[in-house]
This record gives sequence, structure tokens and C-alpha cells, in this order.
Amino acid sequence: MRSSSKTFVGLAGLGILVAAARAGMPLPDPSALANEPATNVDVGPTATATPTPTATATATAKPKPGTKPKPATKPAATPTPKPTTPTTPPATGTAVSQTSAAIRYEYGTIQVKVTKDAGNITAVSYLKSSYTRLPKGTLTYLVNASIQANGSNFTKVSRATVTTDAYKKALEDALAKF
Amino acid sequence: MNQEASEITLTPPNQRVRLGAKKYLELKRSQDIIETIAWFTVVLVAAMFFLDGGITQFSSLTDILGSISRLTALVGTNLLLIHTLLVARVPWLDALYGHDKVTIAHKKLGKPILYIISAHFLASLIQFAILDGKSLVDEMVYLFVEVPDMWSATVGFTLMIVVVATSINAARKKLSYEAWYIIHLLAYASILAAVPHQFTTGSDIAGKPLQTLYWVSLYLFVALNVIWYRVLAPIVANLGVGLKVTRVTRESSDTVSVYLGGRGLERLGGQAGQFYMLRIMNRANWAKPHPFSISAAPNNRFVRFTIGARGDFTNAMADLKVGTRVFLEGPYGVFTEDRRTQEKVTLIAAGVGAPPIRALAESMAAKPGDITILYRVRNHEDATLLGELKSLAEERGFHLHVLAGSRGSANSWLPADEQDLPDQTRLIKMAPYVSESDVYVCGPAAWAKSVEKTLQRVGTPANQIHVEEFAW
Repeated sequence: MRSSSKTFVGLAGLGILVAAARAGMPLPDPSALANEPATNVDVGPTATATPTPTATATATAKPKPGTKPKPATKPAATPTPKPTTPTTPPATGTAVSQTSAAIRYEYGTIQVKVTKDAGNITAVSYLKSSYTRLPKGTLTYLVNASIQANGSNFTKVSRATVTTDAYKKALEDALAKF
Repeated sequence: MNQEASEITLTPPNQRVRLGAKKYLELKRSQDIIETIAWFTVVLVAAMFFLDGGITQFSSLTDILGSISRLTALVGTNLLLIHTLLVARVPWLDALYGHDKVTIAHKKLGKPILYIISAHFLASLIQFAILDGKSLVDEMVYLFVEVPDMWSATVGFTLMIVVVATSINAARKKLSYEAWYIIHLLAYASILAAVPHQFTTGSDIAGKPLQTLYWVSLYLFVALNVIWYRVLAPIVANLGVGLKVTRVTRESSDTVSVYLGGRGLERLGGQAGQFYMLRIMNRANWAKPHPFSISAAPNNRFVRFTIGARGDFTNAMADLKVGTRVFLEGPYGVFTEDRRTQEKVTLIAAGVGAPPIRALAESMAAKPGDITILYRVRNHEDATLLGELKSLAEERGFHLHVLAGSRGSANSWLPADEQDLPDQTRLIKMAPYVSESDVYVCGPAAWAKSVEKTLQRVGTPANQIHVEEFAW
């Protein structure tokens, strides 16, 4: 390879990798997942009730002019989940449970019981989980992750891809019943 | 010994050849495009991993191990498939780089790929052992017995170690070519054994349509190239032509020419300077292909190999029976007029290197005086193909210098001379146009290296020096 082509491949390759890494960064960040539902609950009701907190929120975002698009998208993204909190107004403190269908998959069956409180998942229990050859802690991780993400939007367990998918199916099935 | 020369009717030379620097630039451009595509496939799989959030999985030791295991698996497998394509004897790679360069690239990639795949194996083993709270040995047993497709992946990895271990230089020296070749075929089994676990448990492929599409396409592309070019295409070509030994003649005390005949030989194609992998289809040799250059320009009367006795296989060539079936794979190599960019040509051969040089001299487009041939031999009486080269040079008006006798100094590639002149001075005396000609060098590796050094000293540009390296 001629040196000019080498330089091109090196720089372009590096550029693509960096771009891919940056694009892949925000999605499955576990800490972001943990925080988002919490901030939603805090900001959501106050924002709809009184306009002042939103003003302070945008004000705090403004000081970074270089990274304008990012603060702009974040407040824009948060309002969409907002309506879900007001539209599920059953009195706080009353937990409701729903049971999913038994999801059969390649290695067994999964059935879960999901408990929600004020629109948030508070507990998930297994009624059926017949596949025993899973990495230790997989089942607990799945429960914790779904509580943190308040849904099925969390990264899967490596080497338990199929089980994770089946679990998510069961979870979504139960959530649809609320 | 060389009376047969008169029996040979020379094949008419090529009528025209494209020359000039542009030809070389076009070749370089095509090479760069192919290499860029190859590197970008590696970048692509790594990018897909990062897009998938791979880089964020660094919160715990098991996450880090998981990321290492995934990334090394993706990059290693991608390189492994390129590595496999490099030995598929694909014509579009052979035409760009030549069989020798492609094989050298294949050799260079072998060890790094094993290291990358080993990293994948260790990282995932340790990760799972920590997750399961087991010892490494227990986890290994568990993975092997319990987890789907993991046993075959482990077998594939073991085979890969065997294949690479038998290919390092120290081991190659102790193994016969045949034994090494048979062990090396296990590489295909190794790759196939590892395929299932990638698609069923691989976190970056299983259940991801885009990634699945990419990997299935890449596997299919490589598999089809291997199956067609390495296996089916030679069978189809040979069935049509039905090559048989028609004549075996002695050329010198230790070389014989084997003539092959068949139906429609022109269908074999090929150019002077190329070689075939030759299989003698008898019980002892059918599974042992050996590379030999054709020693006469391609024609529709015969295919000829001139073979020096150097080992068990080549010794047996003198006793080949007329009518023996022969299977050819090829032709391969870029030691041809395709690479010529200059009007003048210098052909330099030593001993076993004579056959392709003889074929090139016969087929190259040239005016009288355009081609200078230097032929390094032990002595005039026992030099293979010398008679043919002499009559060729006479008929076409080429300059032929026969360089006989034992060499002068240890580093010289020329025979001793009384004045003790340096090699470059003597080269320029014999071939005054050498610095502005295309130089084709074929002979033993150490000798050829020494010729190359002299050529650099006389100022022949590197892209005009063509050396056939015997690598297979």
C-alpha cells in the first residue's frame, strides 16, 4: 500500500471508530438509565404545574453555547415520557401487579409477575424460569435492570442473549396489561 | 544432452505489450483499493461493536472482560476470513499481488490472528468463571459440556493452535511438506467448528439482523471463493482437458522435461513465467501437489515442466510413465510480461530458475537487442535448457551470457573472474541497459537476494525488479 493510502485508511478508520464509539455512548449507559426515570418524575409534574422550574432548567442549559444541540435535545426528549406519568394517576402508594403470558423460547419458559407503583416498576418476580444453565446472577440482573430502566430498555446479559430476549418479551407482555 | 532444442518449434512471441509508468500506477491503485476494502471490513465490525455501546461496558471487571472478548472475537474472525481468502488462490488477488506475495501475507497474518482469538477465549473464560463463581477448570468443563455450541468452538480453537504451531518456521523444518499440508487442511475444520457459537451465542450477531447479514455475507463470500477457485474450477478445467504425460526427456544430469498433452490445451490459458500446482495422479502422489513453472510459452501442442531432482518427488519425475494422468491447478503468479513497463528487458536465471526465464524469453514482445539473458550455471555441459536458450537468442536476436564456474567472493552471484571486478560493474558490462530495463530474476533465494542488491546499486528502480519467490 502506498503511504498516502495508508494515511487515508488510518485516519478514516480512526474517525469511523471514534464516531461509532461516540454514537454508541449515550444509549446503554447504565447510570443514565438509572437517572432518567428519576428526573422524569421530579421534573414532570412540576413542569406541567408551574412554568418557573422549566425556565431555570433552560437557563442552566444555556451557558454551554458550543454544545447547543445536546442540551436542546435532552429537554425535548424528556417531555415525551412526561405524559405517561400524569396519564397513570392512580393514587400513589397502591401497588398493582400483572402477570405475563408464559413465554416459551429455545431453552425453556419464562413467566413474570410485574408490580407497578405510581407508574414505576417496583418489583418483578419469576413465576416460571425453567432454564437453569445461565450465568450466575442473570435472573437477578434482569429484574434489577428492568426496575432501573422502568421497562425493557436495558442491555442484555452477554451469553444469555436468548434468555434476555425472552425475559423482555414476558416483561412487555405484563406491562401491556396495565 | 541439449539436442532436443532443435525439436522444439518456438511459439510466436506476444505481438504487443503495454509499457509505461501509468501501467504501474494503475496496478498500485487497484492494490490500494483492495487493501482499503479489507481494512475497512475490520473497522466496520469494530464500529458496529462501538455503536452497540461496546465502549460503555467498563463498569466492572466482568464487563471489561466481556468487551475484550466481544471485540477480539469480531476483529479476529474478520481477519481470519480475510486470511482464508488469501489462500483461496483467487485469480483477482493473484493477478494483483502474485501467488507468492498473497501467501506471504497469509503467513504473516496467522500468528496475530491466533493471539487475538486466544485473547477472546481467555477473556470470555475468565469472565464466565467470575460470573459463575467457578474455577477456570470447572468453568471450562461447564462451558464444554453444558453451553450450546461451545464444545465445537473449543475444538476449533484447539485445531487452530495445532495449525499455527505446525506452521512456525522451526516446526516446518522438521515436518515434511506433505505432513504439514495435511495438518494445515485442519484449518478449514477449525473455522467451521467455530461458526455455530458465533451465530447462536455471539452477543454481537445473535438476534441482530444487520450484523447477521454482514457476517453471513462475508462467510458466504469467502466460502464460495474457496470452493470455486480452490476446488471446483481446477476440477472443471482438468476434466475438460484430460492431461496426460506424453514424453519425458532428460535435459541435464539432474533435470528432466515432462511434456503433457490433452484436448484443447489453449483453454488452460496462462502466460510464460507462471506456474502450476502439479499433481501426478498415481497412488503415491495424487494428494501431493508441487509447484512448477512452465518451461515453454503456453501453446496448443504441449505443456512442459522442466524439473530438477531436489527431493523424493522430483527424483521420481525421471521415471514417470507416458500416459500417466496429471492434474494441474493454476496457472498462478505475476512473474510475467504483465508486469513489464520498459522496452528493454534483462532476464537473469540460475540453475532451477531457468524454466520460467526460458518461457519468458520465448514469449516476450521484443525487437532484436531488446532482451539480454544472463544464465548462471555450474558448467556449460550440464546446464539445463541451455541449448534452447542459445537457439532462442540466435533466432530472436537476444544477447545471451552464460556464466559458468564456481563463484568468486562469498557475496557474489557471479562466477569468479580474473580482474576481480565488483558484480555491478560486470552486470553493466553484460547488460548496458539494466538500469532502464525490467529485470526478471529467478533462482535460489539467497542468490536472488544478492542479484537484487546489485540491481539496486546499478540504479534499477524497485518496481522494475521482478523476483519470483518460491513460497507455497
